[in-house]
Amino acid sequence: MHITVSRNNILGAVQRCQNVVERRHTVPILSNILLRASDDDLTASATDLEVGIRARVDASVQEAGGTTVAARKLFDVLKELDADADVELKTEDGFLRIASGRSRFKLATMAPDDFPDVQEESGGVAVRLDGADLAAMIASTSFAMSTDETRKYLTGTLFELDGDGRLNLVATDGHRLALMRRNLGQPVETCQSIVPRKAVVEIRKLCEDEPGQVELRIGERQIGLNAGGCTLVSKLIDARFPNYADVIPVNNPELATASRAELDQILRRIMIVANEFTHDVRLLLRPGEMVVSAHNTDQEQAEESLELDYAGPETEIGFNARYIRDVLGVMKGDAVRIHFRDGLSPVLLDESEDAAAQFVIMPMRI
Amino acid sequence: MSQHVVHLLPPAVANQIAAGEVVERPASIVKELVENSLDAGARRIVVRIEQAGRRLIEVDDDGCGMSARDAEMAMRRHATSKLSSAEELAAIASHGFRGEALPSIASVSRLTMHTALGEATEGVELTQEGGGPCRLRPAPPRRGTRVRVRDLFFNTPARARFLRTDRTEEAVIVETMRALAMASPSVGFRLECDGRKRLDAPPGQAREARVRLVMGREFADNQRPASIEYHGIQAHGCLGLPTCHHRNAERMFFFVNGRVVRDRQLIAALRAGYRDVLFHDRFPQAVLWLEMDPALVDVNVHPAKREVRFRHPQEVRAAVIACARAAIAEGGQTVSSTVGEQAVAALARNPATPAPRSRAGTSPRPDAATLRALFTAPAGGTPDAAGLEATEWEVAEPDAPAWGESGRLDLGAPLAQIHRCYILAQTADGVVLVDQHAAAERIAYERLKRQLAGRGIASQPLLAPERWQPDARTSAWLHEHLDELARFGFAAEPKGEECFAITAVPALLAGEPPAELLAELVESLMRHGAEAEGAGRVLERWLGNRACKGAIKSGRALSPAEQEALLRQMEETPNIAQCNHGRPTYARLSLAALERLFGRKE
Repeated sequence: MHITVSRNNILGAVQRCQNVVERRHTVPILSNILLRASDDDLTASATDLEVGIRARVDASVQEAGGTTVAARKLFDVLKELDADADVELKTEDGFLRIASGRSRFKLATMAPDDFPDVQEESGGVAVRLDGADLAAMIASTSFAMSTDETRKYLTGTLFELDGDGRLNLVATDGHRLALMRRNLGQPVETCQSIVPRKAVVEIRKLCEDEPGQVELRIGERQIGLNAGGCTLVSKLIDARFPNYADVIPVNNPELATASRAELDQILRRIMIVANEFTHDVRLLLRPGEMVVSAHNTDQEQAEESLELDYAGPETEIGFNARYIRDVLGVMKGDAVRIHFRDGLSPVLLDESEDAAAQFVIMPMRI
Repeated sequence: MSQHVVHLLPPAVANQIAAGEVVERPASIVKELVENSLDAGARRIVVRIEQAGRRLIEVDDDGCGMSARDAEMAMRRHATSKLSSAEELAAIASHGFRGEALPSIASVSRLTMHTALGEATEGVELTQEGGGPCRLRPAPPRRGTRVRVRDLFFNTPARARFLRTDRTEEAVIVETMRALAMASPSVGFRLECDGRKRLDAPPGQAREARVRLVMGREFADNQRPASIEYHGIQAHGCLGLPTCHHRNAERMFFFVNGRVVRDRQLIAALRAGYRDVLFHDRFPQAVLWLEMDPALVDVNVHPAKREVRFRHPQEVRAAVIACARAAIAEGGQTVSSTVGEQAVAALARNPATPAPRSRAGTSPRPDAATLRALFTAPAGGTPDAAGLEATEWEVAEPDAPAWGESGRLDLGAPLAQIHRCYILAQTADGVVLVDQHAAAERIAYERLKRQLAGRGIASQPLLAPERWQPDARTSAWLHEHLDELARFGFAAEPKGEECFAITAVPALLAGEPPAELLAELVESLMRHGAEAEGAGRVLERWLGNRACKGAIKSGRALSPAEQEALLRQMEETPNIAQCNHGRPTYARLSLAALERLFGRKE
């Protein structure tokens, strides 16, 4: 292999690949990145056997071929090179020679034949949407994913195509749930799959960087994303996601509306004296006013009230303040609507009647 | 051939069979005979052993003795002075009662017994060989009884072959005598093995003095006495500091109404008492006397009476745990002096230069490697070897914990952080080395524990119930005890015979797997009963894991202010002497120890 490529282009591609490389993988070659040159492009790929990523950049190819080299090291080298200069890469005697300006590097390689290249599954349902939209959907839901490895199905995000031509993203850790819907404006085959956390994070990064549309493919065992010159594929979590529709309360009789920013600030202050692990706060909702309070085992207390658009009966609900703040943090509007029934039933938070995002939080018994 | 094949065994054979249960090894003979002496009200008991008891076991006491007729009766099976009716069996206060020991022993040895009644002018000597006929002849009067057992197993060579080496058998005898001696501190005990004195405890000793004599100075200096009463059970104990632990359960002694008992429930209870202050695979060292109404203990469970059955096992367990807890509360901030001794021993055994064996020898200058050795030494938790070495050096001050004059823990002023792992602090009379991670872990854990105990446990209901299918036994229990889960912040509903839906979890542990957590809690509740002190034990253990994750790690640089803060927090924290895995959190070297180490002072 012998190519010349713009430093900025190759750095971007290598960085994307670098993200999925596990630092300490038991298979040594998986610490490497696969470089393959043909015609007039260079593809860089990396995988941890769960998630694989492939990035294509333009290159002038003097000699086609491929090699693998330590991802971290290659990234660190490229990062240090002159940003505006071209980089020349050449394989020679089992090494990769890198030249740019007056810099010369020689890095150890491993044969590309042993590298488990990213395999794309054929079939599945493909949909197209704006990269920014998908990134926003993930941003609004991913905080609710669980880290409890014993319940695999909660550690990812549900990607669902429903009968109304919508893409729905759902994440829950068993105590709270986040749901965001987007109308695709096209009829699609319905399907459901749980995408592991790592892939969710990478999909979001790729989408954020992509100004145009992206293509999402949801298959039997794999999810794929094409964004610009990048392709990501990931295995799915082979489990059944809880029926989230059952969890979302649709008939909560009471509705209270508060200022989102104000509530967030108050919670931030009140949390200081709440139990440092459970963050339990009390929300007392009564006509015109909400009183937020907390206390801890050392008898310390905090209390603050804010204006509330509410006319129902006085109700006290205990919460993990962290859960509410997570929701307020991903909302965009000025107001937050709180739909509730009593002190112990699931509470629904949203921004407006037709909001794309819905959040459910289970109260805490304090 | 005769139609009748069932017949009574001849007494000699029956006795040999009984001997298989009672006379396991020489030490069991020692135990049986000494217990007879105790039942006879002896004040002094002398035991002489030759060839680990193969050749001779002699037990000589100054008890009440026996008449010639009683002596002869005693050699018959099920003959006893200690019991006359089945009713009495329910409340036995004496050691023996089965009437099996003497005939069993006599059936496998050559036995001679010399005894006389208190005021009699004539005594009697009785001999019996291998369960043969019993021969009596008059003998001079004496005070008490002397039993000599010669040539053990001479007629049952198969049994003799099962004996271990002399060294092992002798060690077992010594251990047996040590336990008996602690069980009855008021009685004098003396043990000679092949003419060598192995134990000499004067009569009329107090418990603590007897423990010091038998268990040694190291234990005596690193234990806390405790006495409690619980539901009519009196528990007195000498309980080792949590950092003064042992690799197995052999350094736990239990005496129930004066009887030496080795009982799994008691061992488990004592370990439970030490639950969050000890390494999980280490055992506490302790001597514990339990006194209760004899009617509440069934001793007729094990032929050698090593095991007992309690009428109210939960209460006994609670008493043992409360006793251990009382002692730990007292000593929970003190690290065993063995830790300091090991540190000095580690210093003295500098790997770079051969350790000088003479006390006035030139002590090596501690370089980095030695310092590392010094600091890692206590973590290994092997007080045995290193402790012995230190004893030889006589560097350790008996029981000089880092207490200030006010009686509060004083860890002094921090001087430096070493290897980003340890804090070196100077106190009024020495230096203290603190393991920052271990200390921070304990502080975090005690804080979590306080929150757990401080008020009702906050409960976090689940959005969607979590299905849980426990095994049949657990399910059966759970169906009856579902309500009890609420106290721990759990809620569950039955969904079938062996299927439950978990609907809420304790908020403190909301991020942990609900089914795993509940399974462990239920298992513990089933084992220890609902009122178990250990109620929160399972939750505490999970909290412990979390404390470990959240605590200051080794390798983190601490500013002087942070070091200072850590030391002051430690002084405020209960059980600070060990992290929640039982590793010591600090070691102390007294100025005197350092002076000896460097040969400045003898």
